[in-house]
Parts: sequence; C-alpha cells; structure tokens
Amino acid sequence: MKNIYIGIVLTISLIVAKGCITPFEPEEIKAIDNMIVIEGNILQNDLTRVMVSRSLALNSENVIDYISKATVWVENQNGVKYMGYETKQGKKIEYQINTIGINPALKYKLCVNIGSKKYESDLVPVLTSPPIDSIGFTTNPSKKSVTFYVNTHDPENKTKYYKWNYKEDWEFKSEYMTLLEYDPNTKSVKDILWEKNKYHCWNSGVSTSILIATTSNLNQDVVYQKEIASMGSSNLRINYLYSMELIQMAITKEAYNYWENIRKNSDKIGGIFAPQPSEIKGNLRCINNSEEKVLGYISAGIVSKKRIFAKAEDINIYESPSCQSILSSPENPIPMESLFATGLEIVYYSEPENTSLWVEKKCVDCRVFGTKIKPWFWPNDHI
Amino acid sequence: MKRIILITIAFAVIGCNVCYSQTPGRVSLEKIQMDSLRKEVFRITGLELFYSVDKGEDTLFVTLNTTYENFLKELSSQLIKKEYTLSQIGNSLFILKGVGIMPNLPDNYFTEEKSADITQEHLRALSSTDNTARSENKLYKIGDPNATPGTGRALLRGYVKNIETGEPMAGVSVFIERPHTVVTTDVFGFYRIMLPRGNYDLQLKGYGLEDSKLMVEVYGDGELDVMMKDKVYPLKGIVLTAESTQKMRSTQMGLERIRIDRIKHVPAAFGEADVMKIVLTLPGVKSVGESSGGFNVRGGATDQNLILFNEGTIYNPTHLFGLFSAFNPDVVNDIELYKSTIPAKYGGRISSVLEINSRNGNSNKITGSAGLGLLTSKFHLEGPIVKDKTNFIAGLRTTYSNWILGVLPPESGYKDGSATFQDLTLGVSHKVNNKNTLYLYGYYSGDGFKFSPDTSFNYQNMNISFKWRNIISDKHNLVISTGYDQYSYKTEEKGNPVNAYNMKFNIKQLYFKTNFNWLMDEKHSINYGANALYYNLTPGVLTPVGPESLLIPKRLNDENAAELAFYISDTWNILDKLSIDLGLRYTFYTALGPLSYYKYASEDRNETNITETVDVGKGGIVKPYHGPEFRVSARYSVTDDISVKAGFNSMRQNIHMLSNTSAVSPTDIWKLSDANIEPQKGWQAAFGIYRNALGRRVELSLEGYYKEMNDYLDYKGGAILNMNEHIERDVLKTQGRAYGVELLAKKPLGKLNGWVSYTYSKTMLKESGVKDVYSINDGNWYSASYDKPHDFKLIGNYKFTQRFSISLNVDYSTGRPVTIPISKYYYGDGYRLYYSDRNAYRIPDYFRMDFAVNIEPSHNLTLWTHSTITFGVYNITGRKNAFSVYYDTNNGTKIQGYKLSIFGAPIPYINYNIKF
Repeated sequence: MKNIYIGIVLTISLIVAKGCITPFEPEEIKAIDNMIVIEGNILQNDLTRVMVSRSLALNSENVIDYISKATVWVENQNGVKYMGYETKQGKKIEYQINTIGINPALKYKLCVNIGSKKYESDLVPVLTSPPIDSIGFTTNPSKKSVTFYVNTHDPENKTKYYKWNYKEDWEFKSEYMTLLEYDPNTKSVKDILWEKNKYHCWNSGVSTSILIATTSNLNQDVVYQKEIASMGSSNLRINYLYSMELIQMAITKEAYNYWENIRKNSDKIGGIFAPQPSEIKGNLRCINNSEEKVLGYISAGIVSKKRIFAKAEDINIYESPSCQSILSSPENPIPMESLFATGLEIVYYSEPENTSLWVEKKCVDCRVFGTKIKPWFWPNDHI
Repeated sequence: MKRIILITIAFAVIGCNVCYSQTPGRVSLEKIQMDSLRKEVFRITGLELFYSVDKGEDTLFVTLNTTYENFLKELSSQLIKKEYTLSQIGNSLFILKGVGIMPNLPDNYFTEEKSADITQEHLRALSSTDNTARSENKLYKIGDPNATPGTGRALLRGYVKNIETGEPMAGVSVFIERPHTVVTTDVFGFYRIMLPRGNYDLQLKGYGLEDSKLMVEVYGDGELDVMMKDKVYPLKGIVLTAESTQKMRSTQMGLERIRIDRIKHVPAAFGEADVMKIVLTLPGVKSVGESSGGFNVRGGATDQNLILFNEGTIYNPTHLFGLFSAFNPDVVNDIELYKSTIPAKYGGRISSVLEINSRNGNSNKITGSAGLGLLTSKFHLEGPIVKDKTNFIAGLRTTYSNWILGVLPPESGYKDGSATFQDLTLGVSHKVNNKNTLYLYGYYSGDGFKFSPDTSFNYQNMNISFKWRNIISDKHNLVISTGYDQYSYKTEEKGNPVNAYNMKFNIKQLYFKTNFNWLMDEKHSINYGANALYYNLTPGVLTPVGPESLLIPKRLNDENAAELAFYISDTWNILDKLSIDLGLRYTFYTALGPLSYYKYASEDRNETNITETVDVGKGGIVKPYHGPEFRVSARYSVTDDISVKAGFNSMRQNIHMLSNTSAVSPTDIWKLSDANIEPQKGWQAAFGIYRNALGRRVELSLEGYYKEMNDYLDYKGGAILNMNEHIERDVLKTQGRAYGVELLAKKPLGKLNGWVSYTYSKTMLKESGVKDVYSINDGNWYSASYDKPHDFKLIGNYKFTQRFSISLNVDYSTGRPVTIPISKYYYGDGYRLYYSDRNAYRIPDYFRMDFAVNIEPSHNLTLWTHSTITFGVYNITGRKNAFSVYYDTNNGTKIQGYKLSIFGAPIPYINYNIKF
C-alpha cells in the first residue's frame, strides 16, 4: 500500500437559493362560470338552509352570485314535500325549509327549480351525530399560536365519517380607552357616554376551512384532538374572550370523499408532489340536461352542537399591536384639526395645560375591527 | 509534436510448421527452426514452448543430439551460447533473449502483491522482448505467418485497457477503414473483430483516450491486447471519433453513452457532479421540473425507464427527493441510455434503459480520493488486492445537508426539515484465468427525512449481484449474472397519538440472467440468452405507533410474480453498406399465489359488480401473460460520412408505479400486473440520418420517432393509492402516443466541444376503452405532464489553454402543462376552485443558463500535487423559472395564482479539488 493517492474536493456554494413567489397569470383562460351551485344539508334538528348560486370567474370581484326566486323543497322517499321560502339578509339569499322533526328512518332529497331547469339530489339517509365530547386548545409558545381541537367518539362505532363547521364570536378591547371624541364640525373635544364607548367590541365569523375526519382505519370510533382552528398571537379573536359553537355532523363515505377532494383541491396545490387536481361529481344533477355540471353535495342528519368560551388570559399568547401616538403640548403645539385629519383620535385632553394625546384610530376605536353588537348569549355585562 | 507511443501489446502467436528428425531413445535435431522445436519439445517433455526472438533473427536454429533425460539441459546450454535463455514456469517453457524468467518465485513474491497468473506473465514476457510497441509504425503479426494461408476472415480478439490503471475500457471503437469493419468493446473492454487476411491499419478510438493506429498483418486467428492512454492534449486533425464511428457504423439508434469525465465538466447546482442530471441534457429526455427525480424518455412515463446499476435494478435513483442522484461520481465509469433501439437482452420497461456502470478499479496501484463539500463528504478507494487478478473499488458518500433544507423556500415543502442520506458502492473483480472472470457488486443508498418532530420517512435501495464471465471459445462467450434488488420505504406520523402510525412498503426481486455472444462469421453476430426474474412486493403494512394509537393494523397481501424471457438477436452485416439487427424477445409473466381476487362484470369495477371471488393457492398461477417483443433496426451507409437508420421496437412491462403526482416521489407504490391489471405494452418506430461534417469533426444527426403506449395506469379523482386493497377499482387504463424529431450537433473533441440539440415532440394521453362516463377529460386526448414541445439544449466547453476552460449550459423548454382552476364558487363558507380539463394550461417557458470556469494550475504529471478549481454560477440569468403554481383562496374575493421558483436567483459555487 505504498501508492496511496488521496484527493480532496472542496465544494463551496454560496447559496442564495432564494425561492420566490410571483403572480401567475396564465394566458387565454377559458373560464367556466354560471355553473349552478347548490348547498344545504337537510337537518332533522334545525332549519334546512339552502343557498343557490352560480360559479364565478376566478378574477371576479363579485362575492357570491346568488340566485333568487328559485323553488326549493325537501322531499322524502315517499314523495312528501317540505317547501322552502326565500329569505334575504343583506345581499345573502337563503331558502329556509322547516325540516325539524322529520322521520329520521326515511331518506330525503333536495329539489331546486330555477325557471324551467329542475335540479335534485340523490336520496340521502339521515345520519345521527354522536355528541361532541369536548373542545379544547393547545398553545405553542415558540410558534406563538393557539390551536383549537375537538374530541368526539361514537360508542356504537358506526359514525366513521365526521364533518364540522362552526360559528365564532369574540369580544375584544381597543388598546386605549377613552370617553373623549373630537368633533370636526365644532372643532372641539366632547365627552361621550360609556354606553357609546369604543373600547368593548364584538365580531363574529364562520369556519371557512373544510373540517372532516374519518376513523375508518381505527379500531374504535374515536376522534382525538382534531384540529379545527388555529390563530396567531396578533389575532383579535384571542384579545379578550373567544367563543365557538361547533356543529358536528355524521356523513357518508361518499360525502367524505367529495369533501376530501374539495379540500385537496382548495389547499395550495400545484406542487409536483401534490396529486393532480381532479373533479369529483357531487350527488346533484340537472333532470332536464344530464350533461350540465351541478356543483354540490347534499347530506342529511341530526347534528350535535357544543359551545365553548376561551379567555385571553388562559390562552395567554396575545401580543398587542404597536400604536403610534403624538402629544400636543405648549412646547410642541399641533392644531387639533390637522391631527384629526391625519387619522388620529384623541385619548387624553387637558384644556388647562393645553395638552392632548392622540393615537391611531385602530388603537382607540374598536369599531374599526368589529361592532358594538353584543351576542345575546354573551356571558358578561360589557357594553 | 512527435506522438509518444502509448501502446503496449501482448501478443501471442499460435501455430507452427513441422520439420524435424529423430532416433528412438535419443533426440537428434538438425538445425531446426523454432516452430519445429516447439512441437518437438512438446512431444518429448509434454511442455509448451513459448519463444520470442528478435525480428530478423528468426534464423535461430538449434542442433542437438542428446538423450531424452538431458534434452532440456542440452537445449538450455545451446541457447545460452546464442544469448538466449530457457526458463520453465509450470508446464511452460520460454525461450527469451538475454535474461530469462525466474522459474521459481522469489520468497517475497506474494507480499509484493504481484500476480501469480502464469499465463498472463508469459504473454507479457513475450511482448516485452518481442512486440513491445515503440512505434505505431511497427507491424503486428496476427496468426502464424508460416501457416498455409487460410481462406475467409480471421478472428482477432483481445482487451483494451487503460495503460495507467489497467482498467478495461468499455465503448472503445476498434475498426479498419477498408473494408469498413467496426466493433466496440463491451463493458469488460473485450472486443472481437473479423478481419480479412492481409495488411491493415487497425484503429482504436474512445472518448477521453488518445487515438491509436496499429499496423497489423493478419495471417490467422490471434489475440491482441491494447493499452490505451488517457488523452492529455486534444489532438488536432482528428479524423474520426469513437462516437461518430459508432453512430455511423452500428445499427443502434438513440443510444447515448457518456463517460464520467464529461459529466464532471458540466456545471451543476451546488457544484456536485451528477450522474442522473446529465441524462436530462440529452435530446429526447425531459423531466417534470428541476430538482425532481425521474425523467421521461421520448414521451414515456417515469416508471417506464429501466435503471440498471451493475445489473441491479434501482427503483429510486435519487437522494433528497431528486435534488441529487444516488450514485457516487467517483465510482461511476459511464452511463448508457437506450432511447430507441433497445437490445433484446433488456426488457421489463417500455420506454428506455439507463445503464450505469461502475469502474473496475485501478489494477496497478491503490488509489483513492476524499472529498469535502458543503453538502456531501465522500471517500473512495480502489486498487488491486492481488495484482492482475483481483481488483476492488469502494465508495462511500454521506451528507450533512440539513442546512440546505433551511435555505429552500417554505413552499417547497423541504423547509424546517432535517435530512440525511448516504450511499455505498462496492465492486470486486477477480480474474480466475484468461477465460474466466468473476465480479461481485454491492450497492446501498439510504435517505432519511424529518419534516417535523412527528413526521418522518426514510427509504433504501439495496442491490447485490454476482457475475461470471466465461470465454467459451474464440468466437463464443458467456456472461451469467444473478442478484438481489430491494427497495423499501417507511413513513411515520405520530403527531396525534390516537392516529399515530407507520406505513412500510417493500419490493424485492431476485434475478438470474444468462447472455451468450457468438460471432458466427464475419456476417453474423448472434446474441442470445434468457432472463428469469422473481418479484415479491409488500404493498403496504400499516402499524400503530405508541400505546395510545387506536389504528387498526393492516397488511395488504404480498404480491408475487415470476417473469421469464428468452431472446435472440442477430447483427447481420449483409453488405458493407447495409446491416440489420434482428431481435426477438419472448416474455412470459404471471402473478403467483397465494392470492384472492375479484372478478368484475365490467371495466368500471366497483363493489356492486363483483361476479366472482377467485382464490389462488401458494405458488399457483394467477393469470399468465405472454407475448413477443420485436427489436429490429437497420443501417445503410450512403457514403462513409452519411448513414440512415430505421428501427422498430416493441416492449412489455409487468410492473406499474402507482402515482397520481406529476413527479416521482420516494413514496410511490409499485404494483405488479395481476388478473385485473394488465402489463403495459408499447412500441416505437424510429428513423435517423447521421452525417459527419466539417472534416468529421462535427456529428450531425436527425432522429424521428412515433411511439404508442397501452395499459398505462391513471387514477380516478380522489383515488387513494396507499393501503388500497382494491386498487383495480381506482385505476383507469390509459393509452398514450408520442412523436418527435430530435436534431443534434455534437463536437466531441477539440478546443470547442460539446453538443447542441433541439427537439420538437408531443406526448398525449387518453383514458382508454369505451365507457359511458370518462373520469379524465371526457375521454379525450390531453397533454402528459412532461409534454414540453420545444426543447433546446446546449452543453459547451471551450479550452483557451490546457489549464483554462469555460463551460456553458443552456436549457430552454416550453413550460409543462398544468391543471389550473378556471372557476370559483362559494361553498362551505369559503371559496372553492373548479379545475380545468387535465393539463389544459401551461406554466411559463423554462430557461436556464449555467456557467463554469475550470482551472488546472499544473499539468505536469510528475508533480505530486494536482489541483483543479472550478467556479461557476447555476442559473446565471437568475430567471425565476416556475417550479409549481398554486392558488390562494384565503385572500379576498379575487383568487390569485402564484408561481414558485426554487432556484430563482443565480447560485454561485466554487469547487476545489486537490490530489496528492
């Protein structure tokens, strides 16, 4: 072994492998719009709320293209009809059908007539959801996030496929509390009543993600810590008091597959390791024209609900935003109208000392992010 | 500059004339010549006599009158008088000029690690006194000049080896100009050429080797080993290069062979020489995206490429999801890609064969290298164990590439992960004797990833093979190989204790191959043999992890199958200008029990139309499939510099990759054909025109092809491929067609060297069968994910001086097709997307330019340190090529598409390599 030749290779790569994300606008998109979209689950223990709309082009600024004046009803396998009526709330058009107390042993379908076009769903069984065991949260101090989860189980081991949605309400406070207000008309500072405070506000929302789970591969029908919502440290939901009402529904395997496909298609797909997107047909069809694409999947069931409240001090990750403030004093006098004109609001005023403190509106007026409308069930006496 | 002679020749002369007299009991020889003495010696002593006398002195006569007992003694003293010596080694006698061979081995012989191969030794001894080439103008005699001139052609055979390392040189063209006869050395460096009797210039050319021209005089069959030297200086006035000779003369089409030296000169991301990435620079080869594993050859899918490393099948040839290839460049010798004419000895995939050969190792001395890079550390050692008998080569590579995942963008999916990989290659060759050589190869590559503390996966390739090469006769040789291949992976997810699981997949195969080569006569060269292959797949084992997991353990039934193929092919040189290659391969395949499967009433299989459940016992035949595969090609030389070729190939493939992603993923599952899933079938027709231009310095070629594929698998929307017991219900039979034209101009040598290619191609797929409802694109044709019609590639190198060269890569292609949303709708309190037909749109065109500067400060071979510096920039224009596109539905009412680029900026690198 006298002739040992050893070489050394040194590789230095000055990595600047900065990935970058730039907008992608493919040319000549032949957008499909005007596909009929029908949504609304037939509920045995609540109103059935049906929304009929049309699909939109991707770049459309239109929010939802509601269809009004449709005839909507639920029909059971024996042909008994439960007629719906149109309601309008703001721009939202909803058809409500009283299906409370329908016989859960029968199968039902949803029917919609739009002009001469007739649409209907398959007959679906009424599935009973087991009660929700608990809703909890875990915080991740390093990522500064909180995750809400649900636990549930079916002692009879027959639910297997679950779907959730929730309504959420939260109370939050502005960073500064004041009972002063600058009136630009009179160019003076006036007091406001506590009833009109801009300190306590509320807001509400609904789940936008598709929340589904299956226990079909487990030996017990147990859903453990299924993640349903996640919030970062600057999220106002966890500023003071957060409440969530979770609605749990048992669905069929087919419905699960449909929702799972929509979920996959709505996630950030397009990566080369992501499955090729594909469309799964729902259980709706147009009776007049079998070629017409109708979007949606109708399920029926008896849902279970649970509400929880979570206090900010228990979650304990909220971080206040920074607020810019300006002090107007005799040494540095600034006219009030110009401070107001730049979008600041007064929080402190001492006429004798000719001193006033001004902060950004978003830090003093909670109505920037919510309303003064307090939910009827709110567990405190804030106004 | 006067050319230095680089050739040493081992030369054996066989055959002799008769001319002797004798009396019983005594030996009486009167002025007999060496040939006659040889016979006499054999008769008297039973010993073979080898002699070697200076040219012009073949008038060495021996006159003897002695007893049988004293014969040798007397002969020896006679010879000493004439300044020759007689030596005995084993059963051989040698007459040599001057000092002879030591008949007894010195005591320290074996510790000196010298060869004990006597046969080899005497050949060398002969050549050192007689036919050591000092000049290319020297004449080498093949066969016995004194033999009565035979008729027909003579067979010349031998090995071509590297003069410095003794390694066999594969792919070297050995040819004579008139009549034009060309052969190429095989992977063992062995060649056989039929030559007419007479005087010829025998030429040898190989990439990276000095050309050589030997004058031979052919009297009869003989052996000629040729030592060739690595090219140090590019020669001016090269008339013909190995590649061009091969392209012009062989019937092969669409074969690309690249030696590792070339691979090392191509700039690569992170400066790591990459064996697989070079494949993507060849015309007709495409991939879904940069840094993705897998490649597509002439419209074939990624699972339709047979990747062989030293005979073993590699199921996943990449590390880090395709960022690097899994082969250590220090161990690899060359790669060969068969795109079109696939020899009959290969089968099992319908698109291409990529063969990666490791080196045999230096047979003269122990050498090695160690590399330190920012990404990988590598080490390799090679050399003789027993000189001229047993060689080894071993390479190890490992990484500490965690940091690279950190610099990648979060959307790439690699960030916040940790990754390790390693690969190990081992090769041992042992020459039993001149006729028998044994080879042993081992390979292991493994990858491990963690995306978060709770999510991990790892995968491994493992191959071992054993090969025996036997020269049956002058015209007949045999290679038998057997081996075991394995690919496995495991994913683990334990974030949620109740659902915590791991899933394992495993594929094993055992093979046995025999391959015979028979040079029947100057017109026919026959290749025949048989392959047997046994597959065992464990498609999925799902196991709960941790005590809290409620997961139901699940194990899909193992899949077993056997494949048997027989093949024969004949390379038939009909005329000097026309030759054809006729090949036929016949494959038998069946899945084997134990297995229980369903029969369905229709093509649209589901739970409701099961007609029958079939149980097959252990080892039982599930459903046999068999069929012929034709491999035909022809070549017609219009002139010496223009040839045209045409070919037809049909192929069968019994294993399918189940993947509904665009790119190859390590967690893709493979599935064997069974009662419900038919083998894939494909055929390709191709033609080509080849021309040497500019004084044969540039090779031009144009190849066109049309290809069809059948029974390729696609999937229904929402199909779950993992742990699916009834995958046949979710697959969709798909047919494909592809066509294209590839233009290539190549200048292999000279100051300016490299190649430039342009390809126009189309690859379309379609759900096959007659159905009421089609799942994909309403049963219409759509573009495959790797369909990139326009493709331009340039690999260039310019040598300013011997010490300074620059390399440039240019890669342009049409953007790949994607399926994008074309409509949005509000559903479930959020915007949902409605997608276009499959692959109806394209991402922007791809363009990348890389640049590298290579500096070799010292060229003097006597210096004992030798360093090279390469610095370069990957993606010098910093173009933000789209890697993927996605749509964000959480930002207001307008849905915006985004494209992500991974290497969206120029990436500089420096590579410093020192050898001492």
